[in-house]
Amino acid sequence: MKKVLVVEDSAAVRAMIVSIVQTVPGIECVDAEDGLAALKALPADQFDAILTDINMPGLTGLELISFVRCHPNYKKIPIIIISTEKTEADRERGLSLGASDYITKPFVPGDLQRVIKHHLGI
Amino acid sequence: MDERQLQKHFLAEAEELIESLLADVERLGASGDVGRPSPALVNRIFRNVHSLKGLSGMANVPVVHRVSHALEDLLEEVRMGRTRVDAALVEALATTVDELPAFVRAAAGGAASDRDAERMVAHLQHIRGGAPAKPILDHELVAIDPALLATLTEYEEHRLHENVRDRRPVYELRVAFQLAAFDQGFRGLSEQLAAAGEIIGTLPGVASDDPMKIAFRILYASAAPAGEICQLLDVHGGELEQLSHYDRDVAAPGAESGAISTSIRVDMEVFDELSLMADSLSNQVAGLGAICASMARQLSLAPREIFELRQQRRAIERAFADLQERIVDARLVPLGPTLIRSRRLVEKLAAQLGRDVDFVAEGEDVRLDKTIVDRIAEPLAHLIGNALDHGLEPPAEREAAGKPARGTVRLSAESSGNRIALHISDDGRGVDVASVRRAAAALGLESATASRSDPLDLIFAAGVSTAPSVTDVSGRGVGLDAVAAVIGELGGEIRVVSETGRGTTFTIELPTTLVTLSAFLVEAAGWTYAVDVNQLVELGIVEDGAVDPNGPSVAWRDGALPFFTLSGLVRAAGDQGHPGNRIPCLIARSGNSRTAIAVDRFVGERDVIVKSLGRHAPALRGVSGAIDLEDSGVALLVDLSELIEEYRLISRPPA
Repeated sequence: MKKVLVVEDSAAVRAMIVSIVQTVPGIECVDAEDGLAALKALPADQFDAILTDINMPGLTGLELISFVRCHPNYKKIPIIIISTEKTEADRERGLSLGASDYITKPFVPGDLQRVIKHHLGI
Repeated sequence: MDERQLQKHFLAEAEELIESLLADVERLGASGDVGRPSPALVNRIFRNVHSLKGLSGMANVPVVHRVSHALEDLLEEVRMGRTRVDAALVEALATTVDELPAFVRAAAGGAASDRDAERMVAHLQHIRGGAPAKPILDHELVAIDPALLATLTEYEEHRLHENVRDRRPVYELRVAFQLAAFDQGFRGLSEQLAAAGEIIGTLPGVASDDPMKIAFRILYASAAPAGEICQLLDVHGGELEQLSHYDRDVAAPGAESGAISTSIRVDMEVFDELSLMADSLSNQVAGLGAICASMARQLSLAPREIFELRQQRRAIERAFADLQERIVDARLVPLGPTLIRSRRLVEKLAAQLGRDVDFVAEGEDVRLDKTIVDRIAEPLAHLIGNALDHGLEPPAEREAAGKPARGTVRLSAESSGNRIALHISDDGRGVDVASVRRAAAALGLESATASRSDPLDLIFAAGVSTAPSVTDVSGRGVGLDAVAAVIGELGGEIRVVSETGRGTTFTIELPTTLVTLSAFLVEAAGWTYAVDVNQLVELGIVEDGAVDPNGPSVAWRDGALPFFTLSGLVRAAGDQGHPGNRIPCLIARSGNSRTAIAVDRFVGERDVIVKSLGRHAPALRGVSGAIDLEDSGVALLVDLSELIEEYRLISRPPA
């Protein structure tokens, strides 16, 4: 079973993403409502990928990416940015901080599933 | 998730968002100062609209998506400071948000009309204003760690700029919490901080002293007294550092008081000694600072005491930086006298050679190091001599060619940052490229230099001359190579452009000072080396496969460059292997050709003061000095072209 951490502050969008990702057999999601909750979730599980929004209160996606990439235990985990057409500049910053990939909202379920499967190697 | 469930989720969250929007937009209108709303309030409105847009996009409710998109566009402009908040804007926001509850309910039931959406969008788009240029963060005013800056979103960066513009003190707070309960601790502190200022960004990391702790670096702006901020840290411990130094934008006094009566003559060597002393003192202060920091931790001083200790140390460091800058500045002299001497030279030569000439000089206020001014005097005289002798035609010849009898020689200087450019141009006959080629070929140079981009560069090679006759003023082929050599020694560069019948322009680029050097630091075989950035063309990463060991050469851009390793050039013992198959390379300039030199790691660029190795070291060819590093290590400053020359001499097979 592959574990994916979904970090998104909108509860409905988070629930949608989780349900789309969990449709893929062999994937299980843990969700976090912002960057801080993600920091708390990280040591509790062994994650195979992180899906994160960028603009979140408390701790942004960029700060989360930077933390994960600098942390000895997590630095290899693939990170996929959930971006919007408004936040292209922030998405670029995220990629230069070491994010692996991005997907732009709104997306069709198939696209998200393809990206996540690619990074999980399934 | 099925369709019905999805819709229920959508409506529940949308209503929650809109409720909060209604309250916030009301707050925006009710705040006393409409023109300068609280950034936190504007950002919360933006975030809720942004969430509504994301939500409606995902739930596939296109009309709501369209309206929230237009709202988001407008609020993005406000949030980034590109559109002013005024009564009309608040009114437009309020009207739209008031309509949202009914509109969203209708939309969820598939009953909202496109026309309503269009009307709301048009109303919002009508309000948008123009976009001013993006400001650049002044690192003199706020010294922020680039790692921290890189994690800021566009919005956070904008907030940083706004705080700096308003001259609000900017701090970095460092605080660590136990992993088990860090989120309560962090949220509690965040709330307290937000009440007294603005949290711009937060960078989490592992605490260096305790892997069971999580450390946060918080970028914080606040007008509250530093003592109060320190008190907030008393509960959890932590450190506060002030990053902003707004007093620095006051101009240093005395820069313009150049009256003769107040100046004294000082030996240039005294300046060199002063520079070295200031540099060594500031390195020692940095060392002392590191000791203070570790002692403060061991003694568990209060945040307030640590803050004051650090501020004191920073103040001393800044004072030394200012001192160094003033010393460097004191060595700079204006080019004015050089231009006056050049004018006299032109007048003398014109009479001697029978030329009719206008001399135009520009840039008498451009300032550069006294040593450089002295050393370029001879090369400049040489180029001026060439311009009059070989460049300008005699008046009769000019008239026959349809040009005014009176020619023009122009000497101009301009500075940009810590480099200056000198242009020496004439409107004479231009350099005859064909005869340069012939002269070079006669010396057997043509084939060796075929790779040069411009055949005109051959005139800088030794022995090449196109002068039809030898005169007293300029000789035959002894000269431009010497000119190029002096410019090269000063860390400069010379170029020429010429057009037949129209004239020739020589451009000399020079650093303004020799005291501080822009050095690029690299590591090779475990040692740190410094290279004058003036010797570098660019930095590159080459794939292992691009190296041809037989040359040795490496494929670079469209051609091949000679390839060396720095550790090979300095013959240092140690690991020469490169991690992975991507090799960092310095692409260096030597004369007019280029060379790729492999290193183990790029460290970065620094302004450094070069120390002479003096009597303590034997004369090492290719090593031009030493540089003290902040961590009390030493880097050797290497001259790449000398190293390569030396290497070739030694490794040449016996004849």
